[in-house]
Amino acid sequence: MNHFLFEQINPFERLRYIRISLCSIVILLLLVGPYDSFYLDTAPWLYKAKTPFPWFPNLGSHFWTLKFSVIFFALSFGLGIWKKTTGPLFALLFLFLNYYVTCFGSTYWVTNTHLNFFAIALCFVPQKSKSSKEFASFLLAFMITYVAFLYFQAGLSKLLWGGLDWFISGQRIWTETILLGTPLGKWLTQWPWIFQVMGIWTGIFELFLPFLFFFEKTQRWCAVAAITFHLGTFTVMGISFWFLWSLYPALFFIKRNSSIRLQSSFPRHDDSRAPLPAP
Amino acid sequence: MSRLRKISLSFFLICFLTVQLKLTLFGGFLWPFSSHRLFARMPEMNKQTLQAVVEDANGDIQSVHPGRVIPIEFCRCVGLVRNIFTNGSDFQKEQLQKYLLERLNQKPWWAFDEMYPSVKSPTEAAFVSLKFETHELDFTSYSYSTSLPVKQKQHLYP
Repeated sequence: MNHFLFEQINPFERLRYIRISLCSIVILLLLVGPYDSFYLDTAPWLYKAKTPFPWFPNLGSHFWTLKFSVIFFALSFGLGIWKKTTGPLFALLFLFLNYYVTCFGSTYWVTNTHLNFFAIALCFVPQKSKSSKEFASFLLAFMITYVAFLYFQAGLSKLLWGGLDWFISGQRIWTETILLGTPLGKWLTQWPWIFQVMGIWTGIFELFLPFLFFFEKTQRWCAVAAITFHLGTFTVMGISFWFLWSLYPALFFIKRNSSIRLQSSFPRHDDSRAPLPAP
Repeated sequence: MSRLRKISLSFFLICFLTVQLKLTLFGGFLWPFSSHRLFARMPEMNKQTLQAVVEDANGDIQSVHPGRVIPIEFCRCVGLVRNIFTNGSDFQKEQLQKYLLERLNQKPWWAFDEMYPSVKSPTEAAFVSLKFETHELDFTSYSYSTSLPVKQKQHLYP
Protein backbone atom coordinates (compact mmCIF):
# COMPACT_ATOMS: atom_id res chain seq x y z
CA MET A 1 0.00 0.00 0.00
CA ASN A 2 2.88 2.33 0.83
CA HIS A 3 4.27 1.67 -2.63
CA PHE A 4 0.96 2.50 -4.32
CA LEU A 5 0.33 5.67 -2.33
CA PHE A 6 3.79 7.15 -2.02
CA GLU A 7 6.02 5.59 -4.66
CA GLN A 8 4.23 6.11 -7.96
CA ILE A 9 6.52 6.17 -10.95
CA ASN A 10 7.26 9.56 -12.44
CA PRO A 11 4.51 11.45 -10.58
CA PHE A 12 5.47 15.00 -11.58
CA GLU A 13 5.41 14.44 -15.29
CA ARG A 14 2.19 12.43 -15.09
CA LEU A 15 0.56 15.18 -13.04
CA ARG A 16 1.69 17.72 -15.59
CA TYR A 17 0.01 15.79 -18.40
CA ILE A 18 -3.08 15.30 -16.24
CA ARG A 19 -3.22 19.06 -15.69
CA ILE A 20 -3.01 19.71 -19.42
CA SER A 21 -5.59 17.01 -20.22
CA LEU A 22 -8.00 18.15 -17.53
CA CYS A 23 -7.82 21.81 -18.54
CA SER A 24 -8.36 20.87 -22.20
CA ILE A 25 -11.39 18.75 -21.27
CA VAL A 26 -12.92 21.57 -19.21
CA ILE A 27 -12.35 24.16 -21.94
CA LEU A 28 -13.96 21.89 -24.54
CA LEU A 29 -16.87 21.06 -22.23
CA LEU A 30 -17.54 24.71 -21.54
CA LEU A 31 -17.17 25.91 -25.10
CA VAL A 32 -19.31 23.28 -26.85
CA GLY A 33 -20.93 21.35 -24.04
CA PRO A 34 -24.08 21.78 -22.00
CA TYR A 35 -23.13 24.99 -20.15
CA ASP A 36 -25.80 26.75 -22.13
CA SER A 37 -27.61 30.09 -21.94
CA PHE A 38 -30.41 27.97 -20.44
CA TYR A 39 -28.74 28.69 -17.09
CA LEU A 40 -28.99 32.40 -17.69
CA ASP A 41 -32.49 32.57 -19.18
CA THR A 42 -34.24 30.35 -16.63
CA ALA A 43 -32.36 31.47 -13.50
CA PRO A 44 -34.98 33.98 -12.25
CA TRP A 45 -37.59 31.27 -11.74
CA LEU A 46 -35.66 27.99 -11.74
CA TYR A 47 -32.46 28.57 -9.80
CA LYS A 48 -32.53 27.44 -6.18
CA ALA A 49 -29.32 27.23 -4.16
CA LYS A 50 -28.78 24.08 -2.11
CA THR A 51 -26.03 22.26 -0.25
CA PRO A 52 -23.08 22.71 -0.03
CA PHE A 53 -23.38 26.43 -0.92
CA PRO A 54 -26.92 27.43 0.10
CA TRP A 55 -25.79 31.06 0.15
CA PHE A 56 -24.73 31.04 -3.48
CA PRO A 57 -26.62 33.82 -5.34
CA ASN A 58 -28.49 33.74 -8.61
CA LEU A 59 -25.77 34.91 -10.98
CA GLY A 60 -28.03 36.27 -13.69
CA SER A 61 -25.90 37.45 -16.61
CA HIS A 62 -22.77 36.88 -14.50
CA PHE A 63 -23.19 33.22 -15.43
CA TRP A 64 -21.20 34.17 -18.56
CA THR A 65 -18.60 35.94 -16.43
CA LEU A 66 -18.17 32.80 -14.36
CA LYS A 67 -18.10 30.51 -17.38
CA PHE A 68 -15.52 32.55 -19.29
CA SER A 69 -13.44 33.10 -16.17
CA VAL A 70 -13.24 29.32 -15.80
CA ILE A 71 -12.17 29.02 -19.44
CA PHE A 72 -9.56 31.75 -18.97
CA PHE A 73 -8.08 30.23 -15.83
CA ALA A 74 -8.24 26.71 -17.27
CA LEU A 75 -6.27 27.93 -20.25
CA SER A 76 -3.71 29.70 -18.07
CA PHE A 77 -3.39 26.78 -15.66
CA GLY A 78 -3.17 24.29 -18.51
CA LEU A 79 -0.37 26.30 -20.09
CA GLY A 80 1.38 26.48 -16.73
CA ILE A 81 1.12 30.27 -16.40
CA TRP A 82 1.25 31.44 -12.76
CA LYS A 83 0.09 28.02 -11.62
CA LYS A 84 0.07 28.98 -7.93
CA THR A 85 -2.60 31.60 -8.65
CA THR A 86 -4.42 30.32 -11.71
CA GLY A 87 -4.73 26.76 -10.35
CA PRO A 88 -6.73 27.58 -7.22
CA LEU A 89 -8.81 30.16 -9.09
CA PHE A 90 -9.62 27.65 -11.80
CA ALA A 91 -10.47 24.91 -9.29
CA LEU A 92 -12.64 27.19 -7.17
CA LEU A 93 -14.53 28.86 -10.01
CA PHE A 94 -15.08 25.56 -11.82
CA LEU A 95 -16.42 24.12 -8.57
CA PHE A 96 -18.87 27.03 -8.33
CA LEU A 97 -19.87 26.70 -11.98
CA ASN A 98 -20.51 22.97 -11.75
CA TYR A 99 -22.42 23.51 -8.53
CA TYR A 100 -24.46 26.33 -10.07
CA VAL A 101 -25.72 24.21 -12.96
CA THR A 102 -26.95 21.49 -10.59
CA CYS A 103 -29.31 24.01 -8.94
CA PHE A 104 -31.83 24.20 -11.76
CA GLY A 105 -34.51 21.77 -10.71
CA SER A 106 -32.92 18.65 -12.13
CA THR A 107 -32.18 15.68 -9.96
CA TYR A 108 -28.44 15.39 -9.55
CA TRP A 109 -26.97 12.83 -11.87
CA VAL A 110 -23.39 11.77 -11.96
CA THR A 111 -21.66 13.78 -14.61
CA ASN A 112 -18.22 15.21 -14.22
CA THR A 113 -17.43 16.10 -10.61
CA HIS A 114 -14.28 13.97 -10.78
CA LEU A 115 -12.92 16.95 -12.74
CA ASN A 116 -13.59 19.17 -9.73
CA PHE A 117 -11.83 16.82 -7.33
CA PHE A 118 -8.87 16.38 -9.67
CA ALA A 119 -8.64 20.13 -10.29
CA ILE A 120 -8.48 20.70 -6.53
CA ALA A 121 -5.85 17.98 -6.17
CA LEU A 122 -3.75 19.58 -8.91
CA CYS A 123 -3.55 22.80 -6.89
CA PHE A 124 -1.50 20.90 -4.32
CA VAL A 125 1.17 19.62 -6.69
CA PRO A 126 4.43 20.60 -4.97
CA GLN A 127 7.60 21.98 -6.53
CA LYS A 128 9.61 19.21 -8.14
CA SER A 129 12.11 17.81 -5.66
CA LYS A 130 12.99 14.43 -4.20
CA SER A 131 11.45 15.29 -0.84
CA SER A 132 8.10 16.28 -2.39
CA LYS A 133 7.92 13.27 -4.70
CA GLU A 134 5.99 11.23 -2.17
CA PHE A 135 3.27 13.85 -1.89
CA ALA A 136 3.04 14.14 -5.67
CA SER A 137 2.74 10.35 -5.74
CA PHE A 138 -0.11 10.53 -3.24
CA LEU A 139 -2.01 12.99 -5.44
CA LEU A 140 -1.66 10.61 -8.34
CA ALA A 141 -2.71 7.65 -6.19
CA PHE A 142 -5.77 9.63 -5.08
CA MET A 143 -6.85 10.07 -8.70
CA ILE A 144 -6.24 6.41 -9.58
CA THR A 145 -8.17 5.32 -6.49
CA TYR A 146 -11.02 7.65 -7.43
CA VAL A 147 -11.23 6.09 -10.90
CA ALA A 148 -11.06 2.50 -9.60
CA PHE A 149 -13.60 3.21 -6.88
CA LEU A 150 -15.95 4.90 -9.33
CA TYR A 151 -16.28 1.67 -11.33
CA PHE A 152 -16.62 -0.37 -8.16
CA GLN A 153 -19.39 1.94 -6.88
CA ALA A 154 -21.22 1.57 -10.20
CA GLY A 155 -20.97 -2.23 -10.00
CA LEU A 156 -21.88 -2.39 -6.33
CA SER A 157 -24.98 -0.24 -6.81
CA LYS A 158 -26.15 -2.57 -9.59
CA LEU A 159 -25.59 -5.57 -7.35
CA LEU A 160 -27.49 -3.93 -4.49
CA TRP A 161 -30.43 -2.54 -6.45
CA GLY A 162 -30.69 -4.95 -9.34
CA GLY A 163 -29.15 -8.11 -7.89
CA LEU A 164 -27.10 -10.64 -9.80
CA ASP A 165 -29.91 -10.76 -12.33
CA TRP A 166 -28.88 -7.28 -13.49
CA PHE A 167 -25.64 -8.69 -14.86
CA ILE A 168 -26.91 -12.09 -15.97
CA SER A 169 -30.03 -10.98 -17.81
CA GLY A 170 -28.60 -7.85 -19.47
CA GLN A 171 -32.17 -6.53 -19.54
CA ARG A 172 -31.39 -3.04 -18.30
CA ILE A 173 -28.85 -2.47 -21.05
CA TRP A 174 -31.30 -3.93 -23.57
CA THR A 175 -34.23 -1.68 -22.55
CA GLU A 176 -32.08 1.45 -22.30
CA THR A 177 -30.66 0.74 -25.75
CA ILE A 178 -34.16 0.37 -27.16
CA LEU A 179 -35.06 3.75 -25.68
CA LEU A 180 -31.87 5.77 -26.05
CA GLY A 181 -29.46 3.69 -28.08
CA THR A 182 -27.59 4.49 -31.25
CA PRO A 183 -28.89 3.12 -34.58
CA LEU A 184 -26.31 0.31 -34.28
CA GLY A 185 -27.35 -0.38 -30.69
CA LYS A 186 -31.02 -0.48 -31.64
CA TRP A 187 -30.23 -2.87 -34.47
CA LEU A 188 -28.47 -5.15 -32.00
CA THR A 189 -31.56 -5.27 -29.76
CA GLN A 190 -32.91 -7.96 -32.10
CA TRP A 191 -30.57 -10.36 -30.32
CA PRO A 192 -31.07 -10.00 -26.55
CA TRP A 193 -28.29 -12.54 -25.84
CA ILE A 194 -25.75 -9.92 -26.97
CA PHE A 195 -26.95 -7.77 -24.07
CA GLN A 196 -26.57 -10.71 -21.68
CA VAL A 197 -22.92 -10.90 -22.71
CA MET A 198 -22.62 -7.13 -22.19
CA GLY A 199 -24.23 -7.49 -18.75
CA ILE A 200 -21.78 -10.18 -17.67
CA TRP A 201 -18.84 -8.18 -19.00
CA THR A 202 -20.14 -5.11 -17.11
CA GLY A 203 -20.25 -7.19 -13.91
CA ILE A 204 -16.70 -8.48 -14.37
CA PHE A 205 -15.42 -5.05 -15.30
CA GLU A 206 -17.11 -3.08 -12.55
CA LEU A 207 -16.85 -5.53 -9.68
CA PHE A 208 -13.49 -7.22 -10.19
CA LEU A 209 -11.28 -5.17 -12.48
CA PRO A 210 -11.17 -2.05 -10.26
CA PHE A 211 -8.86 -3.89 -7.84
CA LEU A 212 -6.33 -4.38 -10.61
CA PHE A 213 -5.94 -0.60 -10.95
CA PHE A 214 -3.88 -0.71 -7.76
CA PHE A 215 -1.11 -2.86 -9.24
CA GLU A 216 1.57 -1.49 -11.47
CA LYS A 217 1.62 -4.51 -13.79
CA THR A 218 -2.13 -4.59 -14.44
CA GLN A 219 -2.93 -0.89 -14.38
CA ARG A 220 -2.42 -0.23 -18.08
CA TRP A 221 -4.47 -3.25 -19.09
CA CYS A 222 -7.26 -2.03 -16.84
CA ALA A 223 -7.10 1.39 -18.45
CA VAL A 224 -7.28 -0.21 -21.91
CA ALA A 225 -10.23 -2.33 -20.74
CA ALA A 226 -11.93 0.77 -19.33
CA ILE A 227 -11.48 2.77 -22.54
CA THR A 228 -12.78 -0.20 -24.55
CA PHE A 229 -15.73 -0.46 -22.16
CA HIS A 230 -16.59 3.22 -22.63
CA LEU A 231 -16.18 3.08 -26.41
CA GLY A 232 -18.44 0.02 -26.47
CA THR A 233 -21.05 1.82 -24.38
CA PHE A 234 -20.77 4.81 -26.72
CA THR A 235 -21.21 2.65 -29.81
CA VAL A 236 -24.31 0.93 -28.42
CA MET A 237 -25.90 3.45 -26.08
CA GLY A 238 -24.37 6.76 -27.17
CA ILE A 239 -22.97 7.48 -23.70
CA SER A 240 -19.26 8.17 -23.97
CA PHE A 241 -18.05 9.55 -20.63
CA TRP A 242 -15.19 11.00 -22.67
CA PHE A 243 -14.46 13.54 -19.93
CA LEU A 244 -13.39 10.66 -17.71
CA TRP A 245 -11.37 8.35 -19.92
CA SER A 246 -9.64 11.18 -21.79
CA LEU A 247 -7.57 11.50 -18.63
CA TYR A 248 -6.41 7.88 -18.76
CA PRO A 249 -3.46 8.31 -21.16
CA ALA A 250 -1.94 10.88 -18.78
CA LEU A 251 -2.96 8.91 -15.71
CA PHE A 252 -1.89 5.43 -16.77
CA PHE A 253 0.22 5.38 -19.92
CA ILE A 254 2.99 7.90 -19.25
CA LYS A 255 5.42 6.01 -17.10
CA ARG A 256 8.82 4.46 -17.39
CA ASN A 257 10.12 6.02 -20.59
CA SER A 258 9.66 9.52 -19.34
CA SER A 259 10.88 8.62 -15.84
CA ILE A 260 14.38 8.42 -17.32
CA ARG A 261 14.02 12.05 -18.33
CA LEU A 262 12.72 12.93 -14.87
CA GLN A 263 15.70 11.34 -13.15
CA SER A 264 17.99 13.41 -15.32
CA SER A 265 16.14 16.50 -14.15
CA PHE A 266 17.54 16.01 -10.62
CA PRO A 267 21.22 16.55 -11.38
CA ARG A 268 22.01 18.49 -8.19
CA HIS A 269 22.25 15.39 -6.05
CA ASP A 270 24.91 14.01 -8.31
CA ASP A 271 26.77 17.25 -8.78
CA SER A 272 29.42 16.22 -6.25
CA ARG A 273 30.36 13.33 -8.49
CA ALA A 274 30.73 15.52 -11.57
CA PRO A 275 34.30 16.22 -12.59
CA LEU A 276 35.53 19.61 -11.52
CA PRO A 277 36.33 22.03 -14.30
CA ALA A 278 39.99 22.27 -15.08
CA PRO A 279 41.67 25.18 -13.35
CA MET B 1 7.71 12.50 4.34
CA SER B 2 7.09 11.75 7.99
CA ARG B 3 5.19 8.67 9.07
CA LEU B 4 2.53 10.83 10.72
CA ARG B 5 1.94 12.74 7.48
CA LYS B 6 1.61 9.50 5.55
CA ILE B 7 -0.92 8.20 8.07
CA SER B 8 -2.86 11.49 7.87
CA LEU B 9 -3.00 11.33 4.06
CA SER B 10 -4.09 7.69 4.11
CA PHE B 11 -6.78 8.59 6.65
CA PHE B 12 -7.99 11.41 4.40
CA LEU B 13 -8.26 8.99 1.47
CA ILE B 14 -10.21 6.47 3.57
CA CYS B 15 -12.61 9.21 4.73
CA PHE B 16 -13.12 10.37 1.15
CA LEU B 17 -13.92 6.86 -0.06
CA THR B 18 -16.21 6.28 2.92
CA VAL B 19 -18.33 9.29 1.94
CA GLN B 20 -18.56 8.03 -1.64
CA LEU B 21 -19.42 4.51 -0.47
CA LYS B 22 -22.05 5.81 1.94
CA LEU B 23 -23.83 7.51 -0.98
CA THR B 24 -23.70 4.29 -3.01
CA LEU B 25 -25.09 2.19 -0.16
CA PHE B 26 -27.63 4.58 1.33
CA GLY B 27 -28.27 7.26 -1.32
CA GLY B 28 -28.60 10.94 -0.52
CA PHE B 29 -27.35 14.20 -1.95
CA LEU B 30 -23.91 15.47 -1.07
CA TRP B 31 -22.61 17.25 -4.15
CA PRO B 32 -19.86 17.04 -5.44
CA PHE B 33 -19.56 13.52 -4.03
CA SER B 34 -21.37 10.89 -6.05
CA SER B 35 -22.99 7.53 -5.55
CA HIS B 36 -22.21 6.55 -9.16
CA ARG B 37 -25.47 4.67 -9.32
CA LEU B 38 -25.70 4.27 -13.05
CA PHE B 39 -28.72 2.41 -14.41
CA ALA B 40 -28.63 0.38 -11.20
CA ARG B 41 -32.19 -0.92 -11.01
CA MET B 42 -33.68 -3.75 -13.01
CA PRO B 43 -36.01 -2.47 -15.71
CA GLU B 44 -39.75 -2.85 -15.57
CA MET B 45 -41.14 -4.53 -18.66
CA ASN B 46 -43.97 -1.99 -18.56
CA LYS B 47 -41.98 1.16 -18.14
CA GLN B 48 -43.23 4.70 -17.57
CA THR B 49 -41.25 7.19 -19.61
CA LEU B 50 -41.53 10.93 -19.97
CA GLN B 51 -42.00 12.30 -23.44
CA ALA B 52 -42.11 15.80 -24.87
CA VAL B 53 -44.80 16.20 -27.52
CA VAL B 54 -44.29 19.05 -29.96
CA GLU B 55 -46.60 20.25 -32.68
CA ASP B 56 -45.61 22.57 -35.51
CA ALA B 57 -47.65 25.11 -37.46
CA ASN B 58 -48.42 22.49 -40.14
CA GLY B 59 -49.93 20.15 -37.59
CA ASP B 60 -47.02 17.70 -37.55
CA ILE B 61 -46.73 16.11 -34.13
CA GLN B 62 -43.57 14.51 -32.76
CA SER B 63 -43.08 12.67 -29.51
CA VAL B 64 -39.47 12.88 -28.36
CA HIS B 65 -37.19 12.44 -25.36
CA PRO B 66 -37.25 15.56 -23.12
CA GLY B 67 -33.55 15.98 -23.94
CA ARG B 68 -34.62 17.12 -27.42
CA VAL B 69 -36.45 20.14 -26.01
CA ILE B 70 -34.12 21.11 -23.12
CA PRO B 71 -30.55 22.21 -23.93
CA ILE B 72 -28.78 20.31 -21.14
CA GLU B 73 -27.51 16.73 -20.67
CA PHE B 74 -30.28 14.29 -21.65
CA CYS B 75 -29.84 12.30 -18.46
CA ARG B 76 -30.76 15.33 -16.35
CA CYS B 77 -33.77 16.37 -18.43
CA VAL B 78 -36.15 13.68 -17.19
CA GLY B 79 -35.48 14.66 -13.56
CA LEU B 80 -35.96 18.33 -14.41
CA VAL B 81 -39.29 17.77 -16.17
CA ARG B 82 -40.53 15.47 -13.43
CA ASN B 83 -39.49 17.82 -10.63
CA ILE B 84 -40.90 20.97 -12.17
CA PHE B 85 -44.08 19.65 -13.75
CA THR B 86 -45.11 17.58 -10.75
CA ASN B 87 -43.75 19.55 -7.79
CA GLY B 88 -43.05 23.01 -9.20
CA SER B 89 -45.27 26.07 -8.89
CA ASP B 90 -47.76 26.97 -11.63
CA PHE B 91 -45.57 29.97 -12.45
CA GLN B 92 -42.50 27.76 -12.95
CA LYS B 93 -44.42 25.31 -15.12
CA GLU B 94 -45.82 28.08 -17.29
CA GLN B 95 -42.49 29.85 -17.61
CA LEU B 96 -40.54 26.69 -18.43
CA GLN B 97 -42.97 25.57 -21.09
CA LYS B 98 -43.03 29.05 -22.66
CA TYR B 99 -39.24 29.34 -22.55
CA LEU B 100 -38.63 25.92 -24.12
CA LEU B 101 -41.04 26.58 -26.96
CA GLU B 102 -39.42 29.95 -27.69
CA ARG B 103 -35.98 28.39 -27.45
CA LEU B 104 -36.85 25.63 -29.95
CA ASN B 105 -38.02 28.20 -32.46
CA GLN B 106 -35.48 30.96 -31.95
CA LYS B 107 -32.27 29.31 -30.83
CA PRO B 108 -32.09 25.60 -31.66
CA TRP B 109 -28.95 23.75 -30.59
CA TRP B 110 -26.78 20.94 -31.88
CA ALA B 111 -25.78 17.72 -30.20
CA PHE B 112 -22.66 17.44 -28.12
CA ASP B 113 -21.97 14.22 -26.28
CA GLU B 114 -24.72 13.91 -23.65
CA MET B 115 -26.68 16.85 -25.04
CA TYR B 116 -29.18 15.83 -27.70
CA PRO B 117 -29.89 18.12 -30.65
CA SER B 118 -33.07 20.14 -30.49
CA VAL B 119 -36.09 18.61 -32.21
CA LYS B 120 -36.64 19.85 -35.76
CA SER B 121 -39.85 20.22 -37.64
CA PRO B 122 -39.83 18.05 -40.82
CA THR B 123 -41.11 21.03 -42.79
CA GLU B 124 -39.08 23.61 -40.86
CA ALA B 125 -42.29 25.16 -39.61
CA ALA B 126 -42.35 26.87 -36.23
CA PHE B 127 -43.46 24.85 -33.23
CA VAL B 128 -46.73 26.05 -31.80
CA SER B 129 -47.23 23.77 -28.82
CA LEU B 130 -45.24 21.75 -26.34
CA LYS B 131 -46.70 19.23 -23.93
CA PHE B 132 -45.23 16.68 -21.60
CA GLU B 133 -46.73 13.22 -21.32
CA THR B 134 -46.08 9.99 -19.49
CA HIS B 135 -46.01 6.97 -21.77
CA GLU B 136 -46.27 3.43 -20.51
CA LEU B 137 -44.17 1.31 -22.82
CA ASP B 138 -44.52 -2.43 -23.22
CA PHE B 139 -41.14 -4.09 -23.71
CA THR B 140 -42.59 -7.61 -23.67
CA SER B 141 -43.97 -7.22 -27.18
CA TYR B 142 -40.98 -5.31 -28.54
CA SER B 143 -39.92 -5.97 -32.07
CA TYR B 144 -37.07 -4.18 -33.84
CA SER B 145 -39.06 -3.68 -37.02
CA THR B 146 -41.97 -1.91 -35.31
CA SER B 147 -41.99 0.95 -32.84
CA LEU B 148 -42.28 0.16 -29.15
CA PRO B 149 -45.95 -0.31 -28.20
CA VAL B 150 -47.35 2.45 -25.98
CA LYS B 151 -49.90 0.92 -23.62
CA GLN B 152 -51.08 4.10 -22.02
CA LYS B 153 -50.54 7.86 -22.30
CA GLN B 154 -51.13 10.41 -19.58
CA HIS B 155 -50.83 14.17 -19.76
CA LEU B 156 -48.29 15.61 -17.36
CA TYR B 157 -48.45 19.24 -18.50
CA PRO B 158 -50.55 21.07 -19.51
